[in-house]
Amino acid sequence: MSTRYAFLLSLCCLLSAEVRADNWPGWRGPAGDGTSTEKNLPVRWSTTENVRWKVPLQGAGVSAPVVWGDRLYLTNSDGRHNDRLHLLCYRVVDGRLLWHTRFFGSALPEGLFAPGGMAVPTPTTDGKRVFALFGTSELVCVDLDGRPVWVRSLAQEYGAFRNRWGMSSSPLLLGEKLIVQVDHWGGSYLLAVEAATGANRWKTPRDVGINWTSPFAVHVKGRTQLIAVGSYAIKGYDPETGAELWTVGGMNMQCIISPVTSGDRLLAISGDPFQAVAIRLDGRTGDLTKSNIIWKAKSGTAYVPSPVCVGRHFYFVEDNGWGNCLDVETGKRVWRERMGGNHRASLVAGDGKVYFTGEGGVVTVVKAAREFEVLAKNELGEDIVASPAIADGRLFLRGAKHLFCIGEK
Amino acid sequence: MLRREYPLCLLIALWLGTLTRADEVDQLLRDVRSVSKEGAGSPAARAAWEKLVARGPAVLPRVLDALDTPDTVAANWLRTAFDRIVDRELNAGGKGLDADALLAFAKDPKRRGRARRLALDVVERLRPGTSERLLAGWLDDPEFRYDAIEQRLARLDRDKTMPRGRAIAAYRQAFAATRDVDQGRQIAARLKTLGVEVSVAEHMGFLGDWYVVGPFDAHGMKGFATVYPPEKKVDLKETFDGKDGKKLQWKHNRVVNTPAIRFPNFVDLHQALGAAEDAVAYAFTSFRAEAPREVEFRGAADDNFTVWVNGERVFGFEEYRNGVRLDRHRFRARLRAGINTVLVKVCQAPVTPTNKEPNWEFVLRITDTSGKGLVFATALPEGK
Repeated sequence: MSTRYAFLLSLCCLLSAEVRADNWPGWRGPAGDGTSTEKNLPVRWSTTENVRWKVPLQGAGVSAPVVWGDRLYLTNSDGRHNDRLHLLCYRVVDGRLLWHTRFFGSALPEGLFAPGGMAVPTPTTDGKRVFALFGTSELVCVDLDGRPVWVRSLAQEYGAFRNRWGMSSSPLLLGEKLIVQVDHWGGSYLLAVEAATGANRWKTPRDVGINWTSPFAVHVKGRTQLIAVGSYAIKGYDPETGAELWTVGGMNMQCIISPVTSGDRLLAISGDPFQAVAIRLDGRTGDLTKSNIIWKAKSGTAYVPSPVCVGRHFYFVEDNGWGNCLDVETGKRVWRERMGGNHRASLVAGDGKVYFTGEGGVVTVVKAAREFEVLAKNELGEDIVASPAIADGRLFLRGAKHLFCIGEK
Repeated sequence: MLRREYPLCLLIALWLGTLTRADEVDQLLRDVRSVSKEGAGSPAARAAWEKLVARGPAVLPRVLDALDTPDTVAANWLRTAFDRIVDRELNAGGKGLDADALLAFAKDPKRRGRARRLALDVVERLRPGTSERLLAGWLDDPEFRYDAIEQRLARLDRDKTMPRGRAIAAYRQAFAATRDVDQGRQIAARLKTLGVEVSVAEHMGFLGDWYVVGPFDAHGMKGFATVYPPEKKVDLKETFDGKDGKKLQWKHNRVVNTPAIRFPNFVDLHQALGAAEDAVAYAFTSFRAEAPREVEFRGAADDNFTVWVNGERVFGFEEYRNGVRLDRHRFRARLRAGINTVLVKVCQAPVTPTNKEPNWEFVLRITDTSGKGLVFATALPEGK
């Protein structure tokens, strides 16, 4: 078993003893890195081919779908101010709407990314409850029937999210803790709450401005660490206490992209000045900028879409549609190829394929390999900004107007 | 004797029973509303929530009444109960829902807007067309004003046969009612095609007649805290030592509104004073008020934002590189009868590799509490 799969397995076990490989329980999937261990994933589709079902969507939202067992969860918002919030549950097999729970939004964040409204953060689930954060600061937990378990308004407790493009950080479920990263002009913080009750476990101030990154969990020397990227630095935290463990400088002033790992390496991008960076995770603490950077790469740069790592290859896409593959060991470019169109959706990968989802709705399926090989280019006829989900041998795509389930027969 | 009093006893018993049930509902509502920060009180709230939902549509008016609160956490608990009951009842045909009670709530302008919308949504499902009928008369409604005007504009767009005079009157009424800048601009454009000019800037109370001066040196991003001469006294004839040895003097800057301008009377200091970095500029205006009154200032600037009214500092906000959003900041001040002055201070950040041409701009308007612009006669001297 490779180091990578050992890591994936251990992280999955950490998240929940019940989690199954074919679930996609939150932002960037079961390991939080955009990869799935699913097999027989779809290669080709079109508006008339391999669309198992599609359902119309209302309102705004670019949160990714999440899937657990036979249920898929999604958020959106509507209303003139996007302050009417929705958490929806669909049946995976046929897209039937099972329930729809609505909330009021308490405070708007000074601005928004229009297609996403207040529903940019992706919800998360442990198969027993569903957790969602909205741009209005509502942090909610409902049971599998959509009934409230606990409800919070972070704006009422700590002030409105002050962010000119709205909140996009997705909460991370880590065992019985829900981790929320709020990087904004109103005093940033990393928050851990009890998944069962909503009560704070800890709250750590962050000396950063606006960012749109999501917290990420890694396993370092037998211990879990939390990673938060933003405002010139990547920082590691102790998930038990919220204490800052280490920092590596050099990231952009405002960061969006989620990092990934490969073995003991953390791979991150944030646009200029580091286009891509590999950091060794070895348990050291303090300022690791000089000691733990393995390589910095200057092969194009991405600002919005998050990367994936498959085997010894690190894939990312520049916002203007250039796909990149770097060697994880050296940071050297393996290939850089045009995917077409602009890209905002993050990459996902599984079954030896990497899915590059263009904003115009074209998904380029590339073989996860050293040699660049396009397996297919697929179009659904509507814009796609949300990142895909992989579960149950299918791909779930949130378009501007529809939610699609893609699966080959 | 007993037989004769039996009906009375029964009535009393029934009344007491109702009272008890009413008290129970009160307690359930209290339990739900007791939720507080960090999810405290959630288990009790959930237990009460289940009982409320089980009581069905009879409790809806009281749930609606209880969720008319500024506490969004409590409101959300109660709205999920409200929705549960409504959804279940609608699936059963909706006959148990009291549309009249919901409609009365929706019509009450003293109720919180989000609660009124919730009630109206249900009425609309029970009696389609209700919203359209109500919106036709809600041009000045505090919650539905925007929707009512949108509906009015859509109707006017559809009606190609309306006489010009009637159309102008209808658009003028919509223009007078709107409190939304984009909506105001749309109406102004339509009126223009009918040969009528209206000023969005005036209607929304944007200040566009200014004297400006700068750049003052703010090396090291010290501009927000540093007191420059205009903060001590404004004399429009005074000259100053500015950044990089420049001699500065006040310049008259009356904003010219073009269709391309981002906001009405948007003041572009970069254009007015030239390129600068790590600097400070001031803008000054003066106007005459007929009588003393409380007003609301709404504005934003890039970077930072400080405002003095009649020499008193009424607002200060330090934040670099976060852009101008309409009405981002609101603050109140009292105007006096006669001449009033407004001084604005706007900083400019240093240039960085990722921000080579930072914006330097602000926008400010004076309104009543509904957002309707207030217009005052200028008291500024003409000047260069």
